[in-house]
Amino acid sequence: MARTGSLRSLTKTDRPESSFVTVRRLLSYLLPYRSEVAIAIVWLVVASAATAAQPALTGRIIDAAVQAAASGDGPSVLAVPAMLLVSAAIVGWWTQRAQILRLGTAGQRALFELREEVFATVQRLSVSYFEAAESGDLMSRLINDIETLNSFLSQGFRRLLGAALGLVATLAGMLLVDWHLALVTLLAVPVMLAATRLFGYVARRAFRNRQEAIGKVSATLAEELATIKIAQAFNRTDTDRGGFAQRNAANREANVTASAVSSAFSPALGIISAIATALVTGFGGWLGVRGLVTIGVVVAFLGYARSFFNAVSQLSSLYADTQSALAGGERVFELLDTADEVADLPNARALAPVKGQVEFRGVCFAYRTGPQVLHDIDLVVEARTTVAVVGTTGAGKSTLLNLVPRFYDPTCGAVLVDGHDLRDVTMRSLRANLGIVMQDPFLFAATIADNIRYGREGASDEDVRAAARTARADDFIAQLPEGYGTIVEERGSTLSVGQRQLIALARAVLADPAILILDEATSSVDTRTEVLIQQALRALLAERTALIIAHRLSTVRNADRIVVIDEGRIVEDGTYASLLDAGGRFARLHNSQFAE
Amino acid sequence: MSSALLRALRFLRAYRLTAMAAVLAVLAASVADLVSPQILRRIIDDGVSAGRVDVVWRGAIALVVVAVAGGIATFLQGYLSARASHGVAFDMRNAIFEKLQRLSFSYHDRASTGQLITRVTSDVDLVRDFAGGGLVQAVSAVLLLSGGVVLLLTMNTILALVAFTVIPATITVLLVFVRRLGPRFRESQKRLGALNAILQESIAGARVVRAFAREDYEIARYHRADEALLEQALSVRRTVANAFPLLFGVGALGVGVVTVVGGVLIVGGDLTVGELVAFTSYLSLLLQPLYVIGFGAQTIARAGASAERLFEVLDAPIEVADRPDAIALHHLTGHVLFEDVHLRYPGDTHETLAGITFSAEPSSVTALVGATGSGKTSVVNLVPRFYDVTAGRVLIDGHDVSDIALSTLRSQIGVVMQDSVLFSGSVRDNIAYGRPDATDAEVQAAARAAQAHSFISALPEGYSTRVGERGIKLSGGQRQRIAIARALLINPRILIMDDSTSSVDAQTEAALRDNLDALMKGRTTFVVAQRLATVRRADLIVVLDEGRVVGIGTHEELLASNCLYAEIASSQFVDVIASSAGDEVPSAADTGLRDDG
Repeated sequence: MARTGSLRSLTKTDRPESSFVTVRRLLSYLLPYRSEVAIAIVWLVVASAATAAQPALTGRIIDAAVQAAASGDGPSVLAVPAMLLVSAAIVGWWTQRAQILRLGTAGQRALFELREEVFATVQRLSVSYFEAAESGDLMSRLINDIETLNSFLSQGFRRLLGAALGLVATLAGMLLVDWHLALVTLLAVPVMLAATRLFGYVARRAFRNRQEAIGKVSATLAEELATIKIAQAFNRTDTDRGGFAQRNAANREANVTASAVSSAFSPALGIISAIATALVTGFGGWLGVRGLVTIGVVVAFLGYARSFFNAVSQLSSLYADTQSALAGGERVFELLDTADEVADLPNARALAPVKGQVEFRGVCFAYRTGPQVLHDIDLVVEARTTVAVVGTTGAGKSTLLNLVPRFYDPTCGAVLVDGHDLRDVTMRSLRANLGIVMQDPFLFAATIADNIRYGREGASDEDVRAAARTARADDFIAQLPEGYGTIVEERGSTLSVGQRQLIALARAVLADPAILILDEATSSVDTRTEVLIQQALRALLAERTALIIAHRLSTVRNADRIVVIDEGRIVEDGTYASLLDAGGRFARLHNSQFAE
Repeated sequence: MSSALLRALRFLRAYRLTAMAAVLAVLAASVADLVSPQILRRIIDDGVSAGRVDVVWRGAIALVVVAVAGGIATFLQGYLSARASHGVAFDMRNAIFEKLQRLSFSYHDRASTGQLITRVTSDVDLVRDFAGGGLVQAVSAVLLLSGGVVLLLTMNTILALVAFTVIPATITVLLVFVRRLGPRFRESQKRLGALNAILQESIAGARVVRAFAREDYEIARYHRADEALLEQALSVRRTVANAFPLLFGVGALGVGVVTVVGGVLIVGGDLTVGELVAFTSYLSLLLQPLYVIGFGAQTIARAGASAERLFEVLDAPIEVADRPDAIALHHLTGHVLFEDVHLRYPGDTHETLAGITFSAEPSSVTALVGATGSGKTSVVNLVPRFYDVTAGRVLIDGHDVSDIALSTLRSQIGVVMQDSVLFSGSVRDNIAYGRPDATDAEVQAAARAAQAHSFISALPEGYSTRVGERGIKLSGGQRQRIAIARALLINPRILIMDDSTSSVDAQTEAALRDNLDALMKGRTTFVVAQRLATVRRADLIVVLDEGRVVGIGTHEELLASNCLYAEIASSQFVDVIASSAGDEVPSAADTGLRDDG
């Protein structure tokens, strides 16, 4: 039921007008299949009629049999209603099949479109949307919500239609057979609706508690598993175990309570419908005894009462499913409607291959609501030069470089490449000119060759190897059991951080960009390998613009120019030698690393 | 039923009374189900047909009473089986979590977090569904089926035999479709998993995707997987469309045939109307348990697979565990000796460490240097016994580490790992992780020593700032310093710093180094570092290459005698090397470093 909904979903569904909008939007995905859906509904109507005819036909058979027994006629009087009853069963089967086939197919295709749209949106959203704390939440939301929608579009929707039409057909059948008894049956409906509402209220709270409890278990579990090594190193496993047992127990209690509520629901409806059936039976029996209705009508009503109450209780349980599907749909649509913090302007142009001049013009920046991280940065990096950005941790170096691929937009001022404001060009054309190696190298669960090839699709094996050689990754890759075909596992224990950095570097080398951004790209690589990489990069860097962040001053001394940043401002700017001579901040940094 | 599932049922033993009460409740509910049609028969035959209104009303009241009793029994069944099954889930989750906490590093190196989470969450749920709901439902189904068959036979043998033809027909349809649906459904789940994996990866690697403008590639990749899923989902839908209407159609047809034959019998005076009504009710009652068993079979198969996966974890050998006669060493002196140590990680073909021998004196500083992948981290990981050696021994104060109780060993070793993992929680909680009872003053002292106090104080809420929340972005270097403070706070006898300052800027590192000099005093310290400024102060430097010790000594000794060390040094200390060991500097590096100097 509401298993996949979260706290937000349950509080949100209380707003009927937004539910209506969500329903309309969900149904709009079925629009391309409207003729299929229309035919399916026709079949469904036929199927409901065939099912609703069965109790009446049963009644007819019984009446005919009773009369024949009294008058001494042969069983041949049963022939017509018997044929009709059997045909009703066959028609019911065939039309149900046709209906499920069409609606099921339409539902799956609609869902397919929705999934494609969601993924395209995920690809469109800016990087700030995926900051570590939120991406886990985003993931589980997407997967759960789409799954909820799946069960709604492939089953819930069809069952909802079926139960509603079945209810109408049964009601029509009852009214046709005997309207007095039909009215008695209807008496139970308001009682059942009231019970459903009451249960809905209680159940919502119980399910919300259950959802929170399991959320707590799995959220902390993910972290505890990720940090299990530290826990063992610091002897904390017993404490963690205690905490887990506590959350686990809370989860058990919440589940038992939720089960108690849901186990009470169907017997309660069962009792109400039993009382109604008893009333129908009693009243019908009384009418029968008086000769006002035939015994066949009484029997027919027993059948009608059963299918009527079945349909009502199905509708009430589908109500909950529909609610959680709507909540899921609402969240998915919320994602689809997310405005990008960084988006292409409508009239953005494609950036042609650039020479590589990068300019920061009066740039300042703050992360969302955070304090200002960069203040009034003015910096021109000429094409085909290498500029190193140095400074203490937290000075704003990575933030500055993140503005070049337009991961973020500056809060004021502008970043320009070859004189084009980045906001005037399309992001893809911009990024096609860039190669980036980030602090935290990310590898895909694919072969090493594919991970390197990510930099340039369709690169030949020889190109991949050449890039790996430049990044000095070739040696260790050759030693892996499957060489370039070795699959990188999720936690990648087989690769050290340094090795991952080398692969990420090879990827950027393969991309052959005009502008190369290296953000502590080799911080975990040993210094000897790093020197070898630098020699190899030397020829490469001569032809392109490079922006480099490194803590090791040995890494930055080759740069054409060094920019020192402190608390978000440029405090020094010059060549390695001139900065050392000036005896300022860089000289102090330098001395702390080299002096003895 | 698979043996793993039978084994899983042992978890139910602790809740056997509850489970038995649930079965009793099922029994009561089944009796109520079987009694109602008999009451209907009496209403029709003895009431309506006989023209007695009082019988009709009494029957109606009896129907309500039976329905209420049945409703209560059904509720109790649901509630009690939930109690039992969630109890089972609780015990299973605890057992698995405890096991995961005890499993050694080598297990966690290979396990994927996502899969372990699936074990603890959905696999446990599947087994629980079976242990609670499934089992009780199966009992109820068998009861209803056998009770119904007996009642039908006693009421009217001919009609019963006609009715029973529905049973094999239903079973045949069920078997055929369950066999067809099962594999299709599993394949569709598999494809869904593959699709979600792509989604997950493209979110985790969003920056890389953006950086290389590979959005279209990702969309195409997703599209292919999505189409594969759609194809399979449509095939599942087709099977469903063929299966369920046919199944219910067979049931409806059966009831129809019984009604017709019953009508014929009524004409001949061999059956009453009430009996026919009761008969058709029983027939619908009989079909329900068949459906339950038929579709339950699938649940059982899935629960079996889940149970197997659970026991895979529960049965995994704990490679690093206390020996039965492990010694508790409460006061280490800190002498660490590596004796011809070999290490090969499980699944690897080559040895990561191939005969390491060296001795670290109490209160000395040992630095490990070498290329990426030379085995530095592997060496230091053996001291707190994160892994067991393949051959050779690691001795602390003369005791083999595998003879020392893990808790006493690790409580005296402070480790700062390569990637500084922080927990969601306050900065204070993170520093006090190894000693939750530490005072604020102690926490601050550790932070000061780790050069972390000033930036922590500048955070919006100081030490109470929660790590990992929006807007609070700690840089790599800041995280590393918190991890160092964490290790220092437990006041360890042995301190291990595994490349723990790689992201700290040079100036901060220099300040840190000065502090650490004081802090390392009185501790045996192992330092894995790239920067020679850190390494050169060590009492002993061990140079590693491809899992072997290729040089050992002080900075000066090694500079003079070891060409690999000289090379490493030259990559950082051009000036120093140029004066002292100029000949050994690789010429390429030399020119590379000089022409802009």
